[in-house]
Amino acid sequence: MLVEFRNVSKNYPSGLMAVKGVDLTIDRGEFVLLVGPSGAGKTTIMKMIYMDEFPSHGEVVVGRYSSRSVNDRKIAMLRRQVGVVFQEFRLLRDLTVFENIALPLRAVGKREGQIKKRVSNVLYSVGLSSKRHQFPLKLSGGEQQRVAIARAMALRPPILLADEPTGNLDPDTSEQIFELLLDINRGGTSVLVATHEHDMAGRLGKRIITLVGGRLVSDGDGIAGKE
Amino acid sequence: MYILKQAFSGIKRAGFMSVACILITTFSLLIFGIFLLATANLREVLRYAHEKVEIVAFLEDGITSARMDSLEAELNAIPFIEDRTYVSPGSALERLREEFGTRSFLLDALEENPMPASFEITLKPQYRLKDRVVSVAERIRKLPGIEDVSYGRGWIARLESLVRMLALIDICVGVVVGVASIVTVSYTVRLTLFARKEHIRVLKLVGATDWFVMLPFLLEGVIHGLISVAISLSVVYGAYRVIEVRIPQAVYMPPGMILFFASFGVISAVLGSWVSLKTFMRAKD
Repeated sequence: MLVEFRNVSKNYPSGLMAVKGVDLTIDRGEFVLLVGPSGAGKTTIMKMIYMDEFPSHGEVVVGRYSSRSVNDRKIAMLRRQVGVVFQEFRLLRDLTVFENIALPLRAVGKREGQIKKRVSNVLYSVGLSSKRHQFPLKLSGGEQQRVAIARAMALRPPILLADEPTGNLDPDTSEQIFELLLDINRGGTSVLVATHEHDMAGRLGKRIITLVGGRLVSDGDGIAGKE
Repeated sequence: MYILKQAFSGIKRAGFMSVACILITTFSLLIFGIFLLATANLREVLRYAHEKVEIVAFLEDGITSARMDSLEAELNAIPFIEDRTYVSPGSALERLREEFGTRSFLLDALEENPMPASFEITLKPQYRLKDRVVSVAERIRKLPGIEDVSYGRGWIARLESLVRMLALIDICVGVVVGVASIVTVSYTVRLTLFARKEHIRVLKLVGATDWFVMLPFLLEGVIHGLISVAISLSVVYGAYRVIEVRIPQAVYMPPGMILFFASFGVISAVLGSWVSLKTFMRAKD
């Protein structure tokens, strides 16, 4: 089991209950779509996996890390095992494509030679080898999201989380991004994608978990549950 | 290398604020440096004064040579004494004449030599402090054949208390300067932190430890501190050279004091960075 939610609920100080009694598991090599309308709790689920948020009740276990026993250092170690991609890309504008992707490798203390090799490989796999010296704002939205995916994959994590990765992209580019995520999954990486694009999710024929109002309402193959 | 690059880019990014921070820290350190220089010089005066400390033991009139021999033996037995010189009544009068200079004719009116014989006693350097001088002098006073003893009790005490007071002022100025440096650097680093908020956020998301994130900012504090220390030390040295022209006996801060001053400047700057970082890292965006 790579990710396990055990009766997880999350209340925010504002009184909002973002997640209510969720039980779920994600295995190694799975491709899972997390669907539901805005405010359904998708992002909170994601945040609890990379431990940016913690359950108010229940427990989240990711690999050998439990939400009940992590500290700052363990969270840093966990995040080396979990690649994260966001709707708004979150690339650093003052760094080139190369430097953005090199960031996680520098954070773990890789040597310059290893960094160059690894960044070149990841850039090749997302089809952006020629853009390595460009700054993010010179790239299209689709290209920026590819760079973000490359950065998330730089440390070869066993799981990749993508929170609305196509939210800012046109349909064609969205399709290409989903293709890239499927490719990554075919390479053995588990992928969890939060999206509100039910049609796209349904077409992929993968496991779909549907959240509504913080509750898990359905979990099955290729079926997006009712909103 | 990456961390060093980030530290310099942080300073560059803060631009005017970095310059202002370095100037304020330098100015604060300068004040502290001037006080330390004054302390170093007053200590030098005290050291010189201690060198000059001597006890004069006046002998009773008509002391027998047997008593004189046993007195010398008793003085030899006191371990704190470095040297002693016997001054005969004749030599004492001669010295007085020299001190009177052109008015020495006044002494011609004396029918007999009123000056007593004495021993001028120098203590070993480590025993020249006020309390030790007093205890040795009182011990000598009690020896048979000694009429009286004299030593610079008053001015040694005054000088020592002046040095103590200056040391106290140094501590107070040090505290104020330390707090000023911490606040200034922490404010500047906070601006850099806010400017680099997204960078830090992304670093943490990709698995950087808190230390990896914080090191460039701590290094930024070290660089601020080092520049401020270098400028303030140069200015204090310049001031010393100017003073030295008028007072050749003036001394510069000794190496130990320079090291303390430099460590103080750098540590307070790093503390400034640390204060901001801890607040920033605890806050959730």
